[in-house]
Amino acid sequence: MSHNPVVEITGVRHGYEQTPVLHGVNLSVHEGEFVTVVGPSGCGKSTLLGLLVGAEQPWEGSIMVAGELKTMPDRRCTIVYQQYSLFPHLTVFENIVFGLCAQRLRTLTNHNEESAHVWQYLRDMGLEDAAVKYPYQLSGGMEQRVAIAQAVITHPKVLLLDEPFSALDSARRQQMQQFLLDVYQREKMTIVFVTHDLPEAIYLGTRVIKLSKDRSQQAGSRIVLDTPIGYPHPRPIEFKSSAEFQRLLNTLEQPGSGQRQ
Amino acid sequence: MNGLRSFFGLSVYTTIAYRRRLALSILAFMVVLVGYGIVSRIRHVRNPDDKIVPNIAQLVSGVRYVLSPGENERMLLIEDSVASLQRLGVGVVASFGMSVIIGMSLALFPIVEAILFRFILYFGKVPPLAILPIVFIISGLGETTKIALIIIGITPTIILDVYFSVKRMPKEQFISALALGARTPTIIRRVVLPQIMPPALTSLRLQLLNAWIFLIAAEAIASSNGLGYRIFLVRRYLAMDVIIPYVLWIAALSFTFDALIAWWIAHRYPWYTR
Repeated sequence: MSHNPVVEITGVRHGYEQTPVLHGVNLSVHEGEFVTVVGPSGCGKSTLLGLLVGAEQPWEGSIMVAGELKTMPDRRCTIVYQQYSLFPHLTVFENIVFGLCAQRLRTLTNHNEESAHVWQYLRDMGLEDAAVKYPYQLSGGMEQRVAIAQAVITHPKVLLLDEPFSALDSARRQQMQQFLLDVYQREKMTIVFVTHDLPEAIYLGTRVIKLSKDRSQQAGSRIVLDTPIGYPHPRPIEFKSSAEFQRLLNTLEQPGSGQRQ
Repeated sequence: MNGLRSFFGLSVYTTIAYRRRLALSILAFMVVLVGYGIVSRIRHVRNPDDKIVPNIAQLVSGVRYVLSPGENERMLLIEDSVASLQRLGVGVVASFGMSVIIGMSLALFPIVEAILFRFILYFGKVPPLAILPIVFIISGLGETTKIALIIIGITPTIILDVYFSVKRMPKEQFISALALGARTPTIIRRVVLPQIMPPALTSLRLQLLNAWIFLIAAEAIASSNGLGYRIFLVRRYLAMDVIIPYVLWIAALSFTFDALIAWWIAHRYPWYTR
């Protein structure tokens, strides 16, 4: 893991209309970190991700990605949403190569050399059999698998995921968590992952950030916990039933402990 | 009673077998045909030369007439159909192209929306037939006028359908596309355009009937050929034996175009009709 901060959020305050959602948010994410962001509904987790991807501009403060100010969505950060990440009119293959084609302003055919790499990538991601299917023909889990593959293939500086597994049942969710960890291991990426599920955040992340509203409820949410997860990757599923996992869960469930700000 | 309701599919959540559905659909046609036959028979008993509700023999004679060679040595029906379909084709294609471009621009570029949206919303409400005289005065009685009337008549509605289709697209798709490195022209060409084509074509299907109305109105007033021209020409002689085959022919053409567009949407955009 490098010590270069790839994401620098400084003094960010943001909200909707007149209502503040986030205030005084400071956060550095280093290259290769897998940061999970947790917090109750409406605490501003998705707002933070919207700011990171550049879909919105903060009222105050700044967001730097790879040393440059983030003012609009660009290829430095790709994002996977709970739904609507895929283009419904494109097949799985076309969805995955969309970013490559868009950046190089051309179409990948099935015959050139680059296409062979894409097929290899599809095999690595376990998507080869679904290549010619449309998103509506896929299960929820498969759809999210394609969305992650689509976002990863362009090698962004940061991969953002906004509750991508929320709509899945627990078995599929576990499969997808494992899939994401495999991708993280293989691609050595920087990931910011938003979830409302604390066990998921602990299982996946190298660091867990907790957002919570101030006591006053007026100023918006801020980061109240910032806890590193020391358990090494790759993480086996047994980690979830370990004493270490339970200890982290207890620590993070208590609002006072590990206070950062 | 329940069985009868179920047989005719009058209860909600009941389904009717395909053959029964087909039989009921044919029944509707049969009722009209039998009703027509009865009325025609009654009128011909009173007046054997009745022209208002022609009998089978009169209709066959009318069909023979429309299939006879006209001025250009071609069958009247073919000659009129070619003339009308040329006007309809040019008008519909031009209208569709303009609607897609303007509708997308309205939805995607706030400056275009600010300038044009209320304008289109307002002038889209003007009944095209009300401005028919203005179009004739400005453009004369030529082909341009007839095509212009179709364009004026159907374009605003298709523009608004395209506009709302783009507006309904999830904003997540635009953010994803930008984050994947796409720029505005790529997003328009590869994300927006393919997704708004099926709703735009559906809108076109619904507007085809209006296109026929405006075409026939224009041909009735200022033309020397075409399906609308012929219907209004023979109307003077109460030639229902010609008008009825022409009306059925127009319905058949319209039905065919509608079916072709529906087939194209299902075939070309399977993700839309899933």
